[in-house]
Amino acid sequence: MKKAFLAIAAVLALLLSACGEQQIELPMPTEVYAAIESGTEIDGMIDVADDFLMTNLGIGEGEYESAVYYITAIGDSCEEIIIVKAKDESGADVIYEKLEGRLEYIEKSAQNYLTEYLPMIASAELRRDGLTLSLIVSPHVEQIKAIYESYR
Amino acid sequence: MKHRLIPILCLLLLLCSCGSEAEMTTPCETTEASEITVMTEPPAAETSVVAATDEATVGEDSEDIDTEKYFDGAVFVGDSIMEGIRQYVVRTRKVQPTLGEARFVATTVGISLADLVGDKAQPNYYRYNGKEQPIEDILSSLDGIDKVFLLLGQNDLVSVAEPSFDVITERYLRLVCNLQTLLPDAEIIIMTNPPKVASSWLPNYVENRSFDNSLIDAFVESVKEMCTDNEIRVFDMHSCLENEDGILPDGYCRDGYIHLSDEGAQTVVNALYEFAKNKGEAK
Repeated sequence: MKKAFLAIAAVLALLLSACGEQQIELPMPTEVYAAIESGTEIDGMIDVADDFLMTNLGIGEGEYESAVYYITAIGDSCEEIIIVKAKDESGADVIYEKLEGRLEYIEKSAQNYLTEYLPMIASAELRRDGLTLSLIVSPHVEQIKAIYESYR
Repeated sequence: MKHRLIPILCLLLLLCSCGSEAEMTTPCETTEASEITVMTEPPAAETSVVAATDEATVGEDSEDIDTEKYFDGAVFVGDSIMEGIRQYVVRTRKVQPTLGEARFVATTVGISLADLVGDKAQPNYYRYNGKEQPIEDILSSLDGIDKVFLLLGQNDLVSVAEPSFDVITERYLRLVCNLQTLLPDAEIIIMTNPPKVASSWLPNYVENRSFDNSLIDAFVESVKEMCTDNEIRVFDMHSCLENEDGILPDGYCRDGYIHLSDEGAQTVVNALYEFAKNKGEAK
C-alpha cells in the first residue's frame, strides 16, 4: 500500500510539473516586444512582419494568430526579433522549424557578409514558450531573455 | 491496485488541462488592442524611418503614379547588395510608396552567377518563402512579372583569385537566356555592379585580394558590352553611385567595402525612378 501511494505521488509530481510547463503562455507578440523595447536599450527597430514573415520564413497570414518581425530601421544588420504566436500546437511545431531554418540561414549568410555580427548570431536565442515562438538575434539578447523569464 | 490508480490519474490529467486553459486565456484576453497595433508603426521606429528617408526625393514629382506602376510587375533578383536595397525599400514602404509593388529575391549567402546557371557542384540557392529553391522555381511561382532586374556577378568576381570576365559574362548571358525562356513576356534588365569605396581594405571572405575599382570598372564595361551585343537593357547603377573619382562615396557604404548604406540604396531607388521615367531608354 505504501508503494502504491509513493507511485501515485510520483505520477502526481510528474503531471504537475508537465502541466506547469504547458501553462506558460506569453502575452501577444506586440506586448512582448513592447516589454523588450521598454526593458532594454533597443531602439530604432521597425516591424516588417507583413513582408518578411512570408518572404523570409514562408509563414503566411493564415498560419498564426499574431506576429511581429523587427529589423533595424536604418542600415542592414543581422539584428532580428521575430515573435510569432501560433494558433495551435501543430502550427507552433511548423513555425518553430521555420525559425530554426531562418537562424541557420542567418548563420550561413554571416560567413560571407556582415561577418562582424558572428558573435551576436552565435548567442541568438530560439525559444518556444507555449504557443509563442521567438527568434532573437540581438546584442541585447541576455536582457531580452530575462524579460521572457519574467513571464514565468 | 492498478484499477484504483486509473481514475486518480484521469482526474489529475483533467485538473491539469483545466488549469492550463485558464492560464492561457488570461494574458491573451487583454491583447486585442495590441493585435491592431501590429499593423501600425511603433512611434520610435517610425521616427527612425522618417529620419532615414526625409532627404529622399523618391517619386516626389507629378509622375509618381506612372513610375510606381512601372515597377508593379518588377522582380529584383540579386546578391547581398540587392538585399541591402530590399531592406531599404521594405522599410521605406512603411512611410511612402517605393518602387510600386516590386518584389525582391535577394540573399546574403554570397550567391553567384555560377550558382544560378549550374556551374557549381554544390550551388547556393535563394531562400524564398522559407525554403531554398532554384531561381527558376521562385520566378515561376510569382504572378504578373513583366520585368526582371538582375544584379549579380560580384561574387563571381571576388570568389576566385583570377576571375575571367569572359566566363562570368557568358554565365550572365546564359542566365538571361534561361529566364527569358521561362518568362518570354518579361523584359530582363541588367543592373551594373556598384563601385567600391576608395579604401583598399577587403573583408577576409574575399578570395580575390586584387579586387578593386579598376577591376570593377573593367567588369562593368564587359557586362555592358555583352548587353549591347545581345540587346539586353542595362540600368547603369555603377554610374549613379560613383563620384567624380569613380569610387563609391563612403556615405553610400555601410561596411567600408561595397555594401550600400541607406543613403546609397536611396540613390539607387531615385535613379530607378529616373530610369522608369525614361522607360529604360537611358542605357
